[in-house]
Amino acid sequence: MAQVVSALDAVLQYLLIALMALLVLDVSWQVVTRFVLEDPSSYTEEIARFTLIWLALLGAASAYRRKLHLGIDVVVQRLGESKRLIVDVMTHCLVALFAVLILIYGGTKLVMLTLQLEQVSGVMGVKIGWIYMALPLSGICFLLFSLAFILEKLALGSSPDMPDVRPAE
Amino acid sequence: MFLRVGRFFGGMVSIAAAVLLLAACDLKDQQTIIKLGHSLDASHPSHKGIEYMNERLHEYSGGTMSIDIYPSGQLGSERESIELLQIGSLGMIRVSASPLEGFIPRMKVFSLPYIFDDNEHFWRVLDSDLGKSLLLDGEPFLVRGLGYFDAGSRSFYTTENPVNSPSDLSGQKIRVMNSQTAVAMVNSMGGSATPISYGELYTSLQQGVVDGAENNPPSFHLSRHYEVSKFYTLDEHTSIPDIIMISQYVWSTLRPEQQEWLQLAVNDASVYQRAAWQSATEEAMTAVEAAGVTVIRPDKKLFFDSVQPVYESETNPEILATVKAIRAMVN
Repeated sequence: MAQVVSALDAVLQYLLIALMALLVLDVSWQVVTRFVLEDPSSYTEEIARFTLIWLALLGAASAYRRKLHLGIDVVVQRLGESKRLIVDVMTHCLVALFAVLILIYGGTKLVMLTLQLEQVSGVMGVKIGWIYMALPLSGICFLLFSLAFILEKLALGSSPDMPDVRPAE
Repeated sequence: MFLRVGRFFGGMVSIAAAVLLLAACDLKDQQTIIKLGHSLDASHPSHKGIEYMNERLHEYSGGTMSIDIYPSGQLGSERESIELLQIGSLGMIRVSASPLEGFIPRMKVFSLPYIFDDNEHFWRVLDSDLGKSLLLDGEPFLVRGLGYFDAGSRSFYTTENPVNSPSDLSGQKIRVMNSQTAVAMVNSMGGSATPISYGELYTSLQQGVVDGAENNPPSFHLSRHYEVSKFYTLDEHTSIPDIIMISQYVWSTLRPEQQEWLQLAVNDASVYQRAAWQSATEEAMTAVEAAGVTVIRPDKKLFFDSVQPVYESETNPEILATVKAIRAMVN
């Protein structure tokens, strides 16, 4: 499990770097074609929009893995270690539930319906269903990362000398 | 004690819930309310057309049906609201035929430049069997067209250089809607099509990011783009109608007589809206001329000739057949 998740994390990271690079190049190209070449490209805006969708959804999963999301820990910090562990596990369970219900189940339904109804984008004619694939894929990443967190916490919980696993902030 | 209070409250809550449920059922039996979303302002003639539609529906149904109108894109952009219609989250929309192109392929014909010769030709086609079959083209995609609204004809406006013929467009950056057809049209006329979002257009015109744009007179007026664009060339290159659409899910839940009432209300509103649109166009033209905009009435033949490559590059046989049928209705 741990190896699978680390591998996924690494792949995801390179993918995100590639998407970010694509976004920067695409937007720069838009500026160049509009102001330097004086022959504005019509594709760039759509590419930028779709890249941003994928970047945001996959990036959210990657940020979750790195514990970069905003959290309010006023209460949790005051709890004892064992209670804090329970809250942590529950939090990750909620993330897993959200990933399964909304992102994977809902997202797949949306992708299937959109593909079936053959909606295409205005300029490039790309099937919008493929763009929406970012939802279930992001959901799968979220689910795997949350399971890894839960397993990690549970392993800690059963060890005799529970060290504090919270990262330095 | 606590237990007893708990039981008492429990009982009260379940009674209240039952009453609410019954009341809801009762209301539902008497009233059918359909939610309608659209992207235009409440002062727009199309909004008035929809309000009139609601009034007529109220009359036809004897007060048992009504439409809840959500203007100004409260329920999402045009493209988003078509999706909401497909999944049945929204009942009805007023939508331009232009974004429908991505959902219903044959809708593309409306975006083609000079597909209609004049206003009479436009309405002759929309009122014909062909126009009706285009409305029903959405059925496999879970949306159903009920009727057409007038959205006028789009013409160019420019900030500094007047456009009297297509050759005046060369070297000018013209903002177009984000559609392949619109880009191809402006490019074949000799201009450089620049798809930028509508919200950015005012400042783009002001700062010279683009040299012009294109739209119908009421939008040119209501968007206040006339403040920064001093030339309006009435070449009327495209006439893209608005369509009143209903979700196939919602349509199938209506009883046959309810469907008929709704259809009648839409038909009435369509006639009413055309008149409202005409007066809004006249008002807008007077207002922009009073504001100092030079209105140019060019020789449309020159523009018509320059867009022929757009038709030549079309390969979809279904669209070509529809274009042929529309052109055959020119008198």
